Amino acid sequence: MSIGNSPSDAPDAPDVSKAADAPPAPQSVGRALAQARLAAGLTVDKVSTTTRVRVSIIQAIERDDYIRCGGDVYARGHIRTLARAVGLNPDPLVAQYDAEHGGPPTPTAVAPVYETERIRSEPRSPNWTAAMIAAIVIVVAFMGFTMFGGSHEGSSPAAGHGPQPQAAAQTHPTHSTATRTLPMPARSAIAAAPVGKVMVKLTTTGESWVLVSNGNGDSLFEGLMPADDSKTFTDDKRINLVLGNAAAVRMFVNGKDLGPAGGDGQIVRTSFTPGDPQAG
Amino acid sequence: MANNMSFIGRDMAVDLGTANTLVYVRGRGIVLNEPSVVAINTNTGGILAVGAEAKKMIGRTPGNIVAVRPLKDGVIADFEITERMLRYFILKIHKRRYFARPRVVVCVPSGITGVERRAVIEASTQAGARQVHIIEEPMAAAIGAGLPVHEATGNMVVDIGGGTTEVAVISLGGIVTAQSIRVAGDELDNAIIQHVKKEYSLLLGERTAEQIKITIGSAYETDADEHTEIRGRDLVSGLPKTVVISAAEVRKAIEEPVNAIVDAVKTTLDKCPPELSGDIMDRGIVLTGGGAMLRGLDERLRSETGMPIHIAEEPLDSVALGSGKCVEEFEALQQVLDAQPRR
Repeated sequence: MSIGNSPSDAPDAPDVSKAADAPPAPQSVGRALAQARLAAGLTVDKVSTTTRVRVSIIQAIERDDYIRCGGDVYARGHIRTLARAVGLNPDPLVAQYDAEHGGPPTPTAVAPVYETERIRSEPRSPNWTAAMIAAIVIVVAFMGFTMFGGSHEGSSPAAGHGPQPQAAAQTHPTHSTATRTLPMPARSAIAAAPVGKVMVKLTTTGESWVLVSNGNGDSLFEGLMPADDSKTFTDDKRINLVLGNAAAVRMFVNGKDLGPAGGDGQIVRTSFTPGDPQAG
Repeated sequence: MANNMSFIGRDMAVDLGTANTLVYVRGRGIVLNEPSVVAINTNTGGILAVGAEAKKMIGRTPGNIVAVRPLKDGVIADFEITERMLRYFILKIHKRRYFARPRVVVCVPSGITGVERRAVIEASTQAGARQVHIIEEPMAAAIGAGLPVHEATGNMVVDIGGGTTEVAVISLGGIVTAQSIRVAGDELDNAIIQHVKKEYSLLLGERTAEQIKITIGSAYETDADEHTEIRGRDLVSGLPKTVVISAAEVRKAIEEPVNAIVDAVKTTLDKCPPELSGDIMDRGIVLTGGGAMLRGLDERLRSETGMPIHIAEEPLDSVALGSGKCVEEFEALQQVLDAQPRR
């Protein structure tokens, strides 16, 4: 068994004795095909008639010259058809071809195809996405700025005492609508009551026992208030009042003048919350 | 590639085929391969199922459910359902559903009319695409099969899909001559149905017919003598019935559509400029599409045309891979994708 002779030199010699007793792996693809063809007793012409691959191309493939095939895909296709025609399993041969010629098939690069087309570039259309995002960011930023600025202004006078009742009484009619609708009542002179708090101011015309407690039940003040005295209480949630002599106490709640709390000698229990009563 | 993921949605390519729809997503490859079937509840108008699930329902639905194939002969037959199917597919591959506005490349048959082309663009736009580009199927198939399309030599590709068979000669990155016939896989199924109906008075469903074609269908005489059992409804008695059919019989049944395909290849070769004919003679014809897997079709074409025939590596995916390739190089290819019809 001599495999010394290169079959590629004499591909047409029907030397069947050189049959494929050697494993095909170490051989080149073309050589394996040629040997198998000889083993099957076929000539190049016959193979060409069955596979319709031209004689010159079959000879080139058997010499491992794949340039004539015109591309990897075609080379692979030819190898497959030829292998089938000569009775070989095409898959290992194709795999071997892939290994020898830069690995498995990679998709054709498409960009070079249209290199010429790229030259006349069209004007870029405006980037609407970016424009939209920018617009949204601006709107959000504006809203945030407005809200932040507003709350700062609103909280600043919180610690201040309310204006004198007289002043409140004079000013409040003119501003009443504004204070009711605006979320920032602090702007109004009358609304000494800070936003979200209840403020009660008691002014006595006579002597009275007074108990003031907040929403948690803590006592803010308990005792006798002398005549012509004035006290102010504020709380976040609620102020409860117990007045011993209701006629002697005038109440200003959230900047609103409620007048004397009740009749002479009457005991009044009442409570106020931030929005109740509202100024005006 | 720097711009793999767009902010508003991933670029994608859709091979909107009559039989199967494949979706290729940029940077991820083929992510979806489903039959182009939609099941609809006619009472509510709602979609019950899309894809493989809906395909199982074909011919087995109660009165208020219809399983339809919105594409016929490679073009849109039911505009609204196509649009909903596309939307379903687009949403399926996007996580942030409400922002999914991808750029889409859609494959169309080369013989498509302006109206049909427009329908594809409209449907895709309404399904949520930001930009729609059209690529011709034979071109996509050639790119997907890995042919050296950009060289100044002829390449011939035959793409046998579900609804259309596309035959094209491509050189220098463009289609030189092309033919599109509306005879392909579906027509083969139909021929089997007709044959069985005539010979055995047995009514077959589309799915059974397709199954027969896949298992024993062939286009060229083979030594193997195969038989298969088929089930359907007897037209005479109205009862279910089983018959045994041979491969030779199936071959005879599908002879006519196969002949049409072979003729289309021959006609295209006839119209091919002589220089390119010579190139094709050396290189051969490449078959892609599901029809390429019909047994003996390569042998048949080989004997009829006298040319070497190759079957693409993954015939079913060629078109999707080719259009996917275009998506990967989207920026570079915009001009080509926007190309106007050739006539």
